[in-house]
Formats: sequence, C-alpha cells, structure tokens
Amino acid sequence: QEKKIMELPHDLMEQIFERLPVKSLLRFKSVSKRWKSTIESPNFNKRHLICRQLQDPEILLLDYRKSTGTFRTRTFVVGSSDASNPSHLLLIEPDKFANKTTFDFEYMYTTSFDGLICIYEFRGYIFIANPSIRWYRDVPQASLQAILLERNDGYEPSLLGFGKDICTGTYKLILVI
Amino acid sequence: MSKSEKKIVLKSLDNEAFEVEKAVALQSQTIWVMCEDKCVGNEIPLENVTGQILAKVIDYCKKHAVVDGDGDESSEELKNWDTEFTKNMDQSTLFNMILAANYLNIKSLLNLTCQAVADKTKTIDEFHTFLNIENNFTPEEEAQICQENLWAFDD
Repeated sequence: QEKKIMELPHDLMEQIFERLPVKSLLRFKSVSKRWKSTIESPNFNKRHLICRQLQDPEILLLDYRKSTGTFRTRTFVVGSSDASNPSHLLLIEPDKFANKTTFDFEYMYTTSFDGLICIYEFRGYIFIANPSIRWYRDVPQASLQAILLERNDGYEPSLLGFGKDICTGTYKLILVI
Repeated sequence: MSKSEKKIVLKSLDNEAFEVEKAVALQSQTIWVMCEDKCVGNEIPLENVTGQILAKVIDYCKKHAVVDGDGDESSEELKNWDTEFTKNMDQSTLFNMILAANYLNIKSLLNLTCQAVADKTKTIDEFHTFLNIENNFTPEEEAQICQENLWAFDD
C-alpha cells in the first residue's frame, strides 16, 4: 500500500537511471515500454555518458595474444561500474567479434572514445566495438586501403585514429599514411 | 549585518521550525534566490518538505557548509559521511529526499540520493517493487528483449 503512495516524477527517475551501470540498463529495458524508449533515446544516452564519465575509469580490457601466450591490458573509460568484480571484466576475443576461426596476426586498438573503441589489423579488418554493450560493427575497407594493400610493396601504414567530429556529432576514423 | 540576519528560520509543511545559519540554508539554490530577491523575511515556509525530511536535509547542509573548500583529506571524510548518511535510509525516505533536494535545488544532495537509489537497484524485481514501475510488456515482448541482451541477465 505504501508503495503506491511513493512515486517520483519521470524526470527524477531518469536522473536515477543515468547513474545505473550499462548492464543494468540493458536489463531494465524490459521493465516497461516507456523506460525502453527512454533508455534507447540518444538524449538519455548522452546524459548517461556524461554521468558515467564523472566517475572512475571502469572496464579493464584484456586481450590475449596467441603468439606469445600473454595478456595485454588497457583500461576503458565507460562501462560497468565495478572492475573488481570479475563478471564485469570483459575479454575481447576478436575471433568471436569478427567471426573468424583462426586469428594469428597481431591486432591493434585505438584509444577509447565515448565508450567506443576501434580494433583493427590493417591488412585484415577494422571494426568498431562498444564493449559495454557487447556491440560491434565491421568497417568496410577504404579504397585507399585497398590500393595500398594491392601494391603489396612492403609498405605498412598501420596507424589508425579514432575520434568524434564535434560539429556533426559523428565518429570518424582517420588513416595515417 | 546584525546577528539575527545571519540566522534564518525554515518552516516545514507540518509547521516545524528550524533555525539555521544562513550559510547553511543558502546551499539551496531555491532559498538563495528567495533571499536574493528579498521576497521572504527571516522565516521561509517550505511547503513541499516535511519536518522529518527537512531535518535530514539540514544535517546534510550543515556538514557540507563546514567542510566545503578544504583539502583532500576532508573531502575523503565527507565522502564517507555521505555514504553513511544514505546507507540506512529506506525507499520512501530516499524518494522524499530526492523530491526535497530537487525542490530546494541542492545539486550535490540530489546527486547523492539518486546514486543511492541506483546502487540499491540491481534486479528487475527490485525495479518493479522498489521503483514502483508497472510492467506493460506482454510476456512475449519481454522474452524478446531479454533474448537480445542475454548476457546482461546472468550474474
């Protein structure tokens, strides 16, 4: 009966939601239709991101090198709240991400930006991943990249930059030749 | 400025009066604006806040008025105090604190109380009961959403 009495206005509830870890937000999409659309809205995501960035860095990326049998680590800015809890540690496995069965060459990644990170191996693939929600997307080969690979003269441009265009709010990849 | 001007009286919804230092009360932007506009005397009626909640809000403001602007050690201490402050509050107290912090416009207190609710809410069931949100999905729709983000549901 008491529960019925206490209700917060939607805007205050949103302020609570902004402080939830990504994993909880994914769960809570099934709470109600209104909350699903709130959680998925760009506006809410922006505020959530700002809120999370005020807190400590969160996810630790571990990547396993088959060739040497060692792990490399990197911290990741936005994601789950508690890095000391092993279930919040995310193992990046490009084999699974890129749907490849063998994966022996070395891959690189850019610094993370707004929770996104670009993982790439210049001769093979480039993809953008958001480890917090386990989302990734392949980036098609650039025509310049194709030409350089075609030439096959030993030249290896391997630097890729990843950032946000603040004018348009879109994310861009920059190839350093 | 005479002595009496440094004090201010806050009156709750249920007519409980609290005399506080002006510096303490002015952490509320709402009260600050009222005083700035000189639209109130030394007694400010707060018609949205009960005495029980107002007492807690004043506790918070007193603590933060004293320590503000000091070095690292005190900010650590303040953080611990904040944690203790919200730790044992039940759901309705927390909600009332959020409403009060919002009405009085005390940003840091709103932050603290929203975070406290967020920290106490981890499972879906907690959501429906604690946050009092009604589920209007059909079971099929709900299953579909869970399926899309399956990994987020295992602990």
